[in-house]
Amino acid sequence: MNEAKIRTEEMLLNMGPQHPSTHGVFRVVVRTDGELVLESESHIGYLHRCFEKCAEGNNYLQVVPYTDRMDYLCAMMNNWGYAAAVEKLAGIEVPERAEYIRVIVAELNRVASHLLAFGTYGLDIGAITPFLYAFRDRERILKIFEKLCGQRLNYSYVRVGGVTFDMTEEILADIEAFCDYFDPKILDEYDNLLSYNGIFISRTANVGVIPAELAISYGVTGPSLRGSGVQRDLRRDAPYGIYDRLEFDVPVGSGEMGQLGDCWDRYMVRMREMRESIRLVRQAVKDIPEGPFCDKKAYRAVKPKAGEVYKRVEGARGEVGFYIVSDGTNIPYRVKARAPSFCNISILDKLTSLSDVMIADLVAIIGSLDIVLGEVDR
Amino acid sequence: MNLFSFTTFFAQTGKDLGKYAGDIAGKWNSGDYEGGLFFAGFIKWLLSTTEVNSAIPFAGTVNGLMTSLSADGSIFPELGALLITIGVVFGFVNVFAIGAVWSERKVSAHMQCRLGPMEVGPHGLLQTVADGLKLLTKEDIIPRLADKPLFALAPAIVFAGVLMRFVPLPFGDKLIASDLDLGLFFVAAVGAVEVLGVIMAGWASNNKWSLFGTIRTATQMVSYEIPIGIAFVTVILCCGSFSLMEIVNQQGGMLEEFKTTNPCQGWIWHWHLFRNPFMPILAIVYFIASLAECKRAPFDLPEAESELVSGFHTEYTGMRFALFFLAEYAAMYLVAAVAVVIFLGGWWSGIYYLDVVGMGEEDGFLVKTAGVLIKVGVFLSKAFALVFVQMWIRWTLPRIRLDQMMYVCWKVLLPISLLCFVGSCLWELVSGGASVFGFGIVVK
Amino acid sequence: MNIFKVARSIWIGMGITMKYFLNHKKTLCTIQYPKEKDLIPARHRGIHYLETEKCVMCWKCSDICPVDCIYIEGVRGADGPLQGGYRGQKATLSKFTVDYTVCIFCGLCEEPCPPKCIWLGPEFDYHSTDRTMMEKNLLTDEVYTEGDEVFVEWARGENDRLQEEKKKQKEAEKAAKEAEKAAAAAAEAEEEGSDAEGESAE
Repeated sequence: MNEAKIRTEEMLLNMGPQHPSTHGVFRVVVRTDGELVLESESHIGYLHRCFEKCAEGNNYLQVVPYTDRMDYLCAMMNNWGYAAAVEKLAGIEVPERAEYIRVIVAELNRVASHLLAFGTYGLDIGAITPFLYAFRDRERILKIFEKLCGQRLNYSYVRVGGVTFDMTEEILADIEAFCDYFDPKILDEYDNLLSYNGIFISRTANVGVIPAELAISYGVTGPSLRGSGVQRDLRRDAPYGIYDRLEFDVPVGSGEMGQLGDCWDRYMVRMREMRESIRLVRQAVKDIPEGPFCDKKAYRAVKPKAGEVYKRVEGARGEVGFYIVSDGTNIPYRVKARAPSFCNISILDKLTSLSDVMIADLVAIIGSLDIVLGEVDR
Repeated sequence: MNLFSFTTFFAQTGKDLGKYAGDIAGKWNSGDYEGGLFFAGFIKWLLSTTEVNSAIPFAGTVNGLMTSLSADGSIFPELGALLITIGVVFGFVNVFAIGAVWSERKVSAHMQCRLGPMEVGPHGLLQTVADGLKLLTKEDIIPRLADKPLFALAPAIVFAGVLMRFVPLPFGDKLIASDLDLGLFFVAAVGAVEVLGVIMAGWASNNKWSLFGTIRTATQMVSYEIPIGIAFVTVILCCGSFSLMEIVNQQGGMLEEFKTTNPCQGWIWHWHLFRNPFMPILAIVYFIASLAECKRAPFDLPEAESELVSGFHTEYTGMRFALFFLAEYAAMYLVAAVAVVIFLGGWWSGIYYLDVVGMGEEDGFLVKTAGVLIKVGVFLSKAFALVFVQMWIRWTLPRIRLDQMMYVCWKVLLPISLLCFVGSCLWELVSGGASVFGFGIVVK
Repeated sequence: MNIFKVARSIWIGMGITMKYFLNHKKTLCTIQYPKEKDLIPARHRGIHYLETEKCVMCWKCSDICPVDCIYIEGVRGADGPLQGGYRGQKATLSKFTVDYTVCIFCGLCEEPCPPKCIWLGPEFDYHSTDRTMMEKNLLTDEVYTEGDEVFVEWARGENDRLQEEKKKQKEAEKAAKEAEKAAAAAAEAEEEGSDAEGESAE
């Protein structure tokens, strides 16, 4: 934006890298006329940590902790995406118990990630209490994960060939207890507290409407895309693991409280996805078979033949894709990660020019797109 | 303006004021003290209604001391009483702010499944004291390009604006700093000073985000004074008096003539809340509008924590910030107390037998004191209950956007309050002052 | 959004917070941390511990570490000539440290260890006021101090010296052997010569 052309009634505002509502180090330079946003320009790169370069110097097993730290809120799915890509490239078979365990932890991680999205979205809109409730429930999930693999956020649990530790009976019982505690009661409470609150609806309905074609053309995926009414979920459309054996619905926005594709739709898709995830977890816990949890020989000495592969999984924020090029050694030649938040956030600048957006709405839109800067910048 | 002109301006003003004070004092000495608004005249006018010294035992001693100390003993006879009054009000505001901050943290913590402050003092009771000490010892930072005089003056003006509104506010029967004849009008009018202070704070901070907070505040506080004003006007209409003590006394069911001779006849249906079917609606309108006046959630756009870190007081640290903070909690109490006075019966508990304690002529000192304490307790508990409701609302609801806030004020609250006003007028005409239940005695 | 729906939704929301407020003792979900601590599960990945006797100095944990934060130095063989150091069953270690300003607690170092002697323990609140204090010496279970650094440098020097000595000794032995061989060959040649002479004399 050329500063010489700015009129004096307009204001150039910097929602800088340090801001309570930008969900990380994300900078938006906004040209406003009072409270109305005329134009916005996003700047990213404040959290770039050279993941893809590091992957070129470490062998296939050593890259796994780096994939955790990309989207640190749904680390299991990142791990799974990478592991699935390497397995496809090297032709490694994963035992069935490991597949069931992968589904359980991935869906629990999706619940945890959506809980955080719900809590912080309430915080952005001004309701402070749902944040605390969301974290109370998220804490239970993180405790389960700590029992399972020893860490609460960066698990490095799903590895090439299976998973790292076995899931014991005690942990399965904990997971079932959590599902019974969480599913109808707590989620209904969240709906009563925030989702159907009149003020929340007036803040988020008809705000930041993303038409379906625009979303598809910008590469938006995940709940942000499903909020615009597009039926697209990789677990159902391009199933990986054992998702083709499990029963679940894919919630899609329907313009219930405003226009189709507004912030409320995207938010509500996440809330409904939590119910579906718990349903998936219950099915997997019931049907989990006995057996080995990992193909140990495979992951100790992963050395795929020369070639390339692109594998994608449905992360909490959209399509997490890994494109791996191998040159026959045990160190990958190139690992490229497709981060869903990177594409999701690219639509922000278009939205501000599409309709009347106020500063408060800008905060609501960024919150509803649910970005994680670790993923945007890698 | 530069320092020289500043000094000469003040020197000249000082001389003028001194001469004016001399004139007023002369007038007062000769018994003519109407209209004097400076120094001796103002103080005497204020003191002519001070009745705190009748309830506080040491006032007489202090009073005598001050009298014997002044030159001719005629200008400041009740200075002691005045100082005690100021001390009581100011002290109450500070103690209340300390308690309110602690209770807000505890209330919010209990609603959020956690404990709140527990370290400093038993159950964290001394936490606010520790916070106050911390704020006192902080470095005083003024941004380099900030407008220094305005920056420094803003917290004082905000706090002064809130504190001034405490002048006509009762704490119990006859426990009032000054029973102004224009009580309710004074409360509404002087509150505008607070808006000025907030605007100064945001502008002087030289920070675009603070400016956002200020602009939002200016619109919000000024707009929401209208429904509040209409609520006040309706109550004044039904009562026939601006004076807050008078309004409360009428809710005790007391007739004007019998106020000093007969005990009260007040029951809960004498409260103005039940006076006519429009009053409950008006009370809710007043409560919502008062939340907006105090910049509390869901109307806390001026200090929207997740958008503009702190809004207009982002750049303030240390004691300057503490003044804003105190002003916010004092305003919370103030609007709650005014709501109690005009709708919820003031210090009348609604139970005749409790109200009557200490009202008789031949009761001893202990019974009279007990009566005073009961009334103070009733008033404070009602006000604190309303403050709790304010906190409860804050921690439940999200924040409203600016245009929605204006919509709520001008298109929802204002029409409803006007309808209630018109309805109350008609009701008063038709029923001749009877309350909803048809058999209260509320007479002008 | 008519006003009654809004008011009703607000009322329901306030009911939820009031319910939590009135039952706060039962719904409490925090603990007063330094006074009350939580149970740490068995698999928790915290600070490392090493069973020194079992370590064979294979360097597998150091190799697999994605961020290269494990530093190992020592000599293979428990009956080596290196004096001092930590004698295990299979190796004598002079330095085994983990740098916690780098470690990411991924747990990859646990698995490749053949005798399973390094593991991540339950301690997570390791802290210091200074960056130099963040390296842990796993041989002493203490912070890696300057005294330890002095020992490590001495051990390196000592190691080099011992290697030099060993090499010299080997060379000396080899030279001696060569000399013996040469002497034996010369003796044989003499014998043959004398035999030949003996034969020609008869």
